[in-house]
Amino acid sequence: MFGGIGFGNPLILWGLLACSIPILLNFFNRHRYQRVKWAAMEFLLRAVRKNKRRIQLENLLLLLVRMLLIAALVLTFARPYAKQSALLGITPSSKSNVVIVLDNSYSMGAYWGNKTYFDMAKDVAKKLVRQRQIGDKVALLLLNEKTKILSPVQLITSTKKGRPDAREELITIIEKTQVSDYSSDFSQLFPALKKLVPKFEETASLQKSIYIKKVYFLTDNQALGWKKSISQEDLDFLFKQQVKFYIVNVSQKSFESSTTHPRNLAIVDFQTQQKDIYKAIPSELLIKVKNYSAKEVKNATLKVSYIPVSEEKKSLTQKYGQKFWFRIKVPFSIHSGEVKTIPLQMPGRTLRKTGLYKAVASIELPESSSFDILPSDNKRQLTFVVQDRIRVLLVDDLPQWPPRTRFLQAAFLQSPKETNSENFYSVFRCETSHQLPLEKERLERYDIVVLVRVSDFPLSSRRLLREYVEGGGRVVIFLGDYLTPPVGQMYNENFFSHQSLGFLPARLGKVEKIKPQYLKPTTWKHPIFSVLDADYRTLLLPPQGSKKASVPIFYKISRLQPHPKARILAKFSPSGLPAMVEGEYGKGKVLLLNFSADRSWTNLPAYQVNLILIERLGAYLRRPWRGKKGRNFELGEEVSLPRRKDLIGILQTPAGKKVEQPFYNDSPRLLPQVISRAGFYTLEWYAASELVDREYFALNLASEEGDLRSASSDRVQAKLQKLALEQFSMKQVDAVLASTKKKESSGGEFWRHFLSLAIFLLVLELVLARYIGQRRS
Amino acid sequence: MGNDQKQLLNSKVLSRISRLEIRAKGIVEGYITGLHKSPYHGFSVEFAEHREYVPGDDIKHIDWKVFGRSDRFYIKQYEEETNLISHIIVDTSESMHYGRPTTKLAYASELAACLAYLIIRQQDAVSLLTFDEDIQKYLPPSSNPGHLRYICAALLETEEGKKTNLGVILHKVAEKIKKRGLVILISDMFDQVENILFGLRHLRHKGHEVLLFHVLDKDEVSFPFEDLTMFEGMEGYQDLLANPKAVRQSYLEELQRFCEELKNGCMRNRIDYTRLDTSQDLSIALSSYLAARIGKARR
Repeated sequence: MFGGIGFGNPLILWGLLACSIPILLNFFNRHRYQRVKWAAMEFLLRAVRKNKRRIQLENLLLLLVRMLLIAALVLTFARPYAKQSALLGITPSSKSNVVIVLDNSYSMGAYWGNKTYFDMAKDVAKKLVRQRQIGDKVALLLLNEKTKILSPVQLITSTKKGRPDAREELITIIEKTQVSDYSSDFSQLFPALKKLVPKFEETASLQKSIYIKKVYFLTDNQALGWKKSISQEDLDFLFKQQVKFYIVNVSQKSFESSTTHPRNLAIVDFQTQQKDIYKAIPSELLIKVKNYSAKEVKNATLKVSYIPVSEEKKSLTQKYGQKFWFRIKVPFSIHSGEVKTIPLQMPGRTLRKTGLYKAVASIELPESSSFDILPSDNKRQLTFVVQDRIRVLLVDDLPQWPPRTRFLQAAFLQSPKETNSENFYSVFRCETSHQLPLEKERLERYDIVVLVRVSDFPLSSRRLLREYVEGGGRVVIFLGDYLTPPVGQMYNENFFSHQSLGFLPARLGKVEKIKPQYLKPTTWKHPIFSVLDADYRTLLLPPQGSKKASVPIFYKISRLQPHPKARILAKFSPSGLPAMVEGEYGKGKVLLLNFSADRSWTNLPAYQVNLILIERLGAYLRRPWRGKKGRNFELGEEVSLPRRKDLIGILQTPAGKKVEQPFYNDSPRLLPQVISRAGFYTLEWYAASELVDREYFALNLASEEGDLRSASSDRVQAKLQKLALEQFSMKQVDAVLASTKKKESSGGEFWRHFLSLAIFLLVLELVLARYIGQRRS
Repeated sequence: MGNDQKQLLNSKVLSRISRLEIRAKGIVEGYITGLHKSPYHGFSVEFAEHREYVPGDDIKHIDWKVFGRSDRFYIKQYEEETNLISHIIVDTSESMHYGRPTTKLAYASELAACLAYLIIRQQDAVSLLTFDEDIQKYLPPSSNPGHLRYICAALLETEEGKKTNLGVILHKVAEKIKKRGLVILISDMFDQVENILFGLRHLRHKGHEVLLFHVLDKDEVSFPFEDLTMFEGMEGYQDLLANPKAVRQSYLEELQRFCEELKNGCMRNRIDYTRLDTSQDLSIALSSYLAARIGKARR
């Protein structure tokens, strides 16, 4: 600071040394001349004597102009500023157009001492607002995955009676702002600034003011936030607008060093291990925990609570609090940087209700250890569905001992892999009947009806079975010894009609004995066979060249004539005759197996592969879950739910707030602003104030946001390229704010005057050089 | 055999002399016949022919006898013989050695040889005198055709000269030449104008007809330099570093002023002044000079 004048970039003042360049060039040129012998020296001497003064004067003038030109350029780039008094009457006052950007991504909720990063950012924002002078313009912007204008451009004017100061209004807005559950995406800031910066010009301003455009970005500068690329066009625009960009990093510098590294654990994933969870069958939840800190964490506890949604309502109404929630706790320790997947088993007794369940996983740390600086990522929600077991009805209308269905029952009720029957829970519930149930409702309870040996169908049974398949039921038909020609004819007439497609996918043919055949799937990719990967194919087919391998063989078949629309799943090898034919009828499926369920046509039931095939067949034919689905989303993701016509939807947020019509126009998409918090949401459908239905879904934080590592200054500078950028830490921020206050309370920068002077000197130099040159030539 | 003769017989010198002679002859032959007239009216005047009178002719030349016979005006024309002695004075000072590509001295020598040939061709006597700060060489007048060769040799043998002292030299020449004649001075005239004119007046006073050929180099006339130049002074002048662009105008003015002063001084003293520069073709220079001389003789 010299006499009230300071410089924004004082280092550039070294450039003043460049003023000596014209002098040096002059000296240098004086040593570069040609030599000529000259006779008419007398006249030359006289001419030189006569012009000596004039030439010296001209040269001196040019030299001076060139030196001044360089000096003016250097001073322009040094950005001089002065106190108002120093420039009184010379320059119009300088004002600031300031955009304060608050990063409220959930990583800003990290604690440092008693305050969160966001609290610190708010403090800096408030200081910045208080610093504004009359005539300055301010806008407030919130940034997470998206941007939100908290306050449009406002001109700070002198306080009028009865009207609060704009600064106070802004401070109130800042105080009300909270950390969001969104992750950070800093690339969103630049398109928003491109829109916002021109608004400053449009807003009325004080006369005779030069405006300096500044953006203060108050953030934890999380490396993840800079992951996406920034539009070149936006950066060019801000550069042309001469916007100064200040990043105030509220995260602690010490955070980067490992010794005092604060603790941050996060649950990055929460899901069920099995795709389908069945009633009363123990099932596993998988919780993926990541340790973002540089130290091992010991004695942490992982806690999972879950409850059927129906029970939750009961617990609320009966005011039992969380009594009905099932809880599982497991202690764990985790190394630095490690990602650990912790499985937790839900006992079968806790899954007795079918339908939707809610689950919450959270990490608890022992009181004695230093606490987790970002607690918000220690919790994650999940919704999942518990289905009823697959109900199978085996129909064998000719009682006989041992029953023909015994192999099937064994296959449905035993796991082919689990040998310990105590720990085994079959997903099938198998019942045997000697005839089809005559009530439709009873039949509808079964997912699969297996006709093991049915030789006669009364008319009522035929209709019932047909309706069952049409409505989505699944039927498996085993052929076998009962298939006498009249039975075959009955099947063909009743279920395979040429006039109209019956549900039988193939016409039954003559039963005959053949040479031993093997079962060969048409494609191994079919869900029934896909489990038999390359190594297990030898369970069905003997390895090439080996004829004595112990594999199931088939020696009696019916010559089937499949319907053109039917699908052949497996053939007999080597004869190539159809062995398994599948057909679709209405919403249902029918599977015709060209072998017996007992050992009359094949020795398949004696092989272990039978268990696999029957289990897969059951799983394949299972009817899809018809109840509510478990919906789980991540914040920022598009959430769409089926719209119900003529009903009013009301969304209940985790905070208990109710939002009517939460959809985006007529689409099934929910409005982003109503689903901005992690937790469980309930969408209730009403018809004239009467509750008709409920939908549930869980919304979770983006899994990566817990990685609090800051981006390095160099990386940020590289991202923002030529933009005028300054980065400060919280330690520097007070000093920087004080210095900017000084600058701003001063008369402002007057580099434009130096630029004008430089342009004037440049023109003068050109004119002078041309004039002198012309005169001499 | 003396040294001079040896040098004369030197084939190189001889060939150079011959070349100069031949060049002089070549240049002069084209203009000679009927062009040169002596400014003197000699003893023996031979009648040549009659020519019809045209207005403007002097009536004293009308042949009245012819008028009586034919009633027409005829003028008698004579072929005159002269006993003219010409003195060619050539400046060989250091400044005369300047010039690109031809030095002023080379140009002056060629001019002197041409004039000498011209004069000897008319059976007039010619002498040669070279000088710098003092008289260097003097060949007495002779009308012998062989004399041309000596003149050429003397012109070629000039050495690197010293400072000019033209004023003093002219006085010395005036004293040295006893018999009235034609004095032809070939020089760049780099001396004080007053001194030069004083010397010339002395020559005129002695009754000599004086022809002055002011030889300058093309560069001296146009001063074509652009870049910063160190001018190395000749004839004892200090070197001078100057920006030619800055001083060109003044230099040319100074030169012009000098030439004007010299020319005016010559006119006042009825001295023929001819400025030549080395880029001019010598034949053109001679032709313009001789034409001027003839015009003057007719008047």
